Amino acid sequence: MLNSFQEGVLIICCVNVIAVLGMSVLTGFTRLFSFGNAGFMSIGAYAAAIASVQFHLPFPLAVLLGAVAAGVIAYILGSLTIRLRGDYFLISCLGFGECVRVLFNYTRDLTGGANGYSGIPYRTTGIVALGCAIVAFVVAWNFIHSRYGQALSAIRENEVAAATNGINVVRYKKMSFVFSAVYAGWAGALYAHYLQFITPSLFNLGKSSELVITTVLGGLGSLTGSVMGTIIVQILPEIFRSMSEYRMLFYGIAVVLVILVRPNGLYGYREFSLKRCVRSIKNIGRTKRGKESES
Amino acid sequence: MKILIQQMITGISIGSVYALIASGYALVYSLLDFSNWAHGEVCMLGAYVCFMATTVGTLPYWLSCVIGIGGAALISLFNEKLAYRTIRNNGSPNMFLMIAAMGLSTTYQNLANVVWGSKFKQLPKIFAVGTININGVFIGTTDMVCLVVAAVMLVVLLLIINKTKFGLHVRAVACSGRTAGLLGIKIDRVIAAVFMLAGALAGLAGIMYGMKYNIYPTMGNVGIKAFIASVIGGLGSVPGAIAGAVLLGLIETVVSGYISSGLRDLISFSLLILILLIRPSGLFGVDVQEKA
Amino acid sequence: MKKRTLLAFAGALALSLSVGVTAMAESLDTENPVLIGYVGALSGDTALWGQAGLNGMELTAKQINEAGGILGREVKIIGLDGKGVADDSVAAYKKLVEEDGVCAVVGTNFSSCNIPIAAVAGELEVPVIATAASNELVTVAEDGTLNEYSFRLCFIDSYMGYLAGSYAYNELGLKTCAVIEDITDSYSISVGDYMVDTFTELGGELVASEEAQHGDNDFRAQLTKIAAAQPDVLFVPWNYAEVALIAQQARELGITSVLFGADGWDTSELTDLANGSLEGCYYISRPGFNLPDAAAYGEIYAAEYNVDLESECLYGNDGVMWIKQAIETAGSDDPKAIRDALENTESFDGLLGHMSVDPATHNPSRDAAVFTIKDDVVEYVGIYNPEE
Repeated sequence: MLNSFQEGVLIICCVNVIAVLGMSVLTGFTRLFSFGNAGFMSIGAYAAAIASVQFHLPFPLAVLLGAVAAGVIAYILGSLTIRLRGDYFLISCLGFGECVRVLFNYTRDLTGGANGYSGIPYRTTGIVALGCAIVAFVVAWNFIHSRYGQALSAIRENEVAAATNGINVVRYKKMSFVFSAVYAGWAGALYAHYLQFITPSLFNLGKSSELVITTVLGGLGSLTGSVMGTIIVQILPEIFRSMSEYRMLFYGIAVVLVILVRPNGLYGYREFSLKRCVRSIKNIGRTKRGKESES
Repeated sequence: MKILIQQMITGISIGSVYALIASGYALVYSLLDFSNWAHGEVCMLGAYVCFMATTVGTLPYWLSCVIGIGGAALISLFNEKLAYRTIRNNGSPNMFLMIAAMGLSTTYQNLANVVWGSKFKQLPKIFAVGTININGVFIGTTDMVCLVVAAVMLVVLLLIINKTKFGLHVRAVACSGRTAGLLGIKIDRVIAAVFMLAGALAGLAGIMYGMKYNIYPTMGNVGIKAFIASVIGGLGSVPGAIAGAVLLGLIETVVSGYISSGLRDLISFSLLILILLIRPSGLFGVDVQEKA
Repeated sequence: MKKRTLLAFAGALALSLSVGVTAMAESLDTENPVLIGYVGALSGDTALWGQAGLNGMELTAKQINEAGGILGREVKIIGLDGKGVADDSVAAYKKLVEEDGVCAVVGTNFSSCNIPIAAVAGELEVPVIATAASNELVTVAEDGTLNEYSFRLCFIDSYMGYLAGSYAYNELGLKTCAVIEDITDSYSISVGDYMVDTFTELGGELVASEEAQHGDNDFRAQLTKIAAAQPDVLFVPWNYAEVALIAQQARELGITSVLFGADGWDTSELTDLANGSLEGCYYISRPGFNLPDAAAYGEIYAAEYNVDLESECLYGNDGVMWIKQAIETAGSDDPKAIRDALENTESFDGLLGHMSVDPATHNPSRDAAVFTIKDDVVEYVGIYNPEE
């Protein structure tokens, strides 16, 4: 079995997988960038934590409340900003995320401000986190392979064409925005019940950028790519923890290199499939043999 | 009243540094339609280059500033040649430029950390740290000089864009890269020159920032403020970026001074969203369909 | 003269160490080392302190090994990066305990990291000694229960705030105060609040209270308001870089108040960055390199690593030495035995001075010192204890 360190890495990984899947549905399928998803994570985390500690709600209900709270806020924000284009939408999300952080710092009586919110029970065990991640993946998979998902893909490929074919672009975009916020809130709620202590600065702009970078590295429009991307981004630095000061430097270089060398991310627009995997292994064998015969 | 004037002066002095960085953002955005998130880090590296030139190289101050500005321009050019051009040639979607810029930004921040350490550095003060007292309103000498230099540079920049042949080329590429190319403008060369220009402005901003405050690896985060300023002004518009920057500086100071410094960012971001709701392409932005 | 005695002292120390080596070298057990972990920010913008803490531990471990180790066994330090972020620090602590099998952990210097570590330490049952994490919740949870496995070397926020308020009112005779706090930093809020509370309870008056945020560089909007109130003393519970900016901008706006701070001011960089604007200001901190033992250690440290002195390295040393004392008291490096010995420490003399531990709160009681800036140099005023 896993020791508590490995279990901790697994939990962090699963929590991030959920948040990144949300980003993937938004960015990968509508090309809208949100730099505010850490804000939704913190809404989920604080709502669930307060529900757990002050109102003694059972854990599943607290998590549900966190996810719903994030979703409701996203719906309101989305109604205002979803029509904004590209970078204007991006900056409004970024601004929102920073606002949430400032607000949680400011409302000391409710959230403890910068002192943090402590005493949250430990409920997110490895099994819970893994279970949630699997459920999140299955739901997201079904969502993008449903009628809605196809509409989203149509919007990604050509917004104008999609609109002329009777797809309500704004409605679908808003839906995927809310979807990503619910996932972020869900992840945040789980995170709070793992760390048992949260502060507003855990959910800063750096966290939002990390989610975006992971999504792009995994490959836009690929859910399996998002999962793989998260695992790589979370576990590689863990292995290099003792290399301390060079760790983040390599991370930055790796991001640039992947973008340059694999322009579509690790799994751009494709899903991981066993069949293709087997085929490519066969191909490797074939090319090897080919080379041997050449020499 | 005295306090209000004092606060306005502070706001404009903050805004002038934002303006130098924001105009570089706007220039690059106008050509390539992407937000160059590594711009703040160019600013930081420019400041460090200048710092190294004065302390390690023991060069005269004015020369160090020139080297700092030149260094920043070269770093900006390096980013374009190494990363952005490759991505454009790959035919990747535009947003990959932004992600690459974010990767560069992380790289430079941590590089600075490894090379110079996380200690705060300070550029030597050329002017005696003094203040001018006008009837109870205080203006720092460093601030005054920075403000004047920034204003002059921004006017020069606007002149270059509007009155020179190079400026005409930049405007043509911004309007439509493909058409400009057909008309015989060497697009890559224009883009490279614009990156150098933006880098030089960022380097200047970094040096001014280092003179007024400190130099440290994460000082490039001020780039976010500049990004916001250029969004307020309308992405891709240089005059808009300048106006947005001064406006943002003023809003921040007035909110801190009269409402609450804790809620400063909350109020300035709410205002940002409000401006975008009323004018979805910023104050000076032209509402063009995004290039697909 | 003073310098010469220090050098003589350092020389004597080195001599005694080398004598120790020849006498003990053969008996040092390297097969079965005592493993001590360290979690700190080794990357990022606070790596300056994290690295100094680790260096201090490694230097001390080397000295201990040259003198025969702990219980005849070699001491090994394993340092991991916690980035100064809560979940990374928790992961680093767990890795040290589960993968490396350390018997105790030193670090971090952030309350926001040590509060979650304290909860985990209770489950994994390996003691952790925080260095500069001064929030009350590090050792005692919100509901008042003791975090059994969490200890600290520094004094707590309330004590620093209390000393600063009391010194400003009673010793400096100042009557009105203002404060500027970083609302995104729990250290700043709680030290600042305690400074003001103590000052006003003694009879002083609060005339302005302002806020700013981490990452801010321009404080003139807030300072303009403080300038209008003209307080006698301005409490600035910030870290040194912002302190230098606040001080310069305050002087620029014509504020002549005494600025008063806490241990965030305590680095060699402070006066370099402040450009003379802190003249006549005060802060409360640990005695640092002003105690003779610490000064001697500082010279060896500076020679070994060729870096500027940061008093965080003294925390590293004291962490290791305190664990050494606990292991020797307990007679084993079993984490539970170490915990019991740490809790019942009645007297520990480290480089930061003498301390004893309150078993009910795990907070050390130790001496704090007052410093002032005179002629652009930090001057040690002395130990301050208002009770005496």
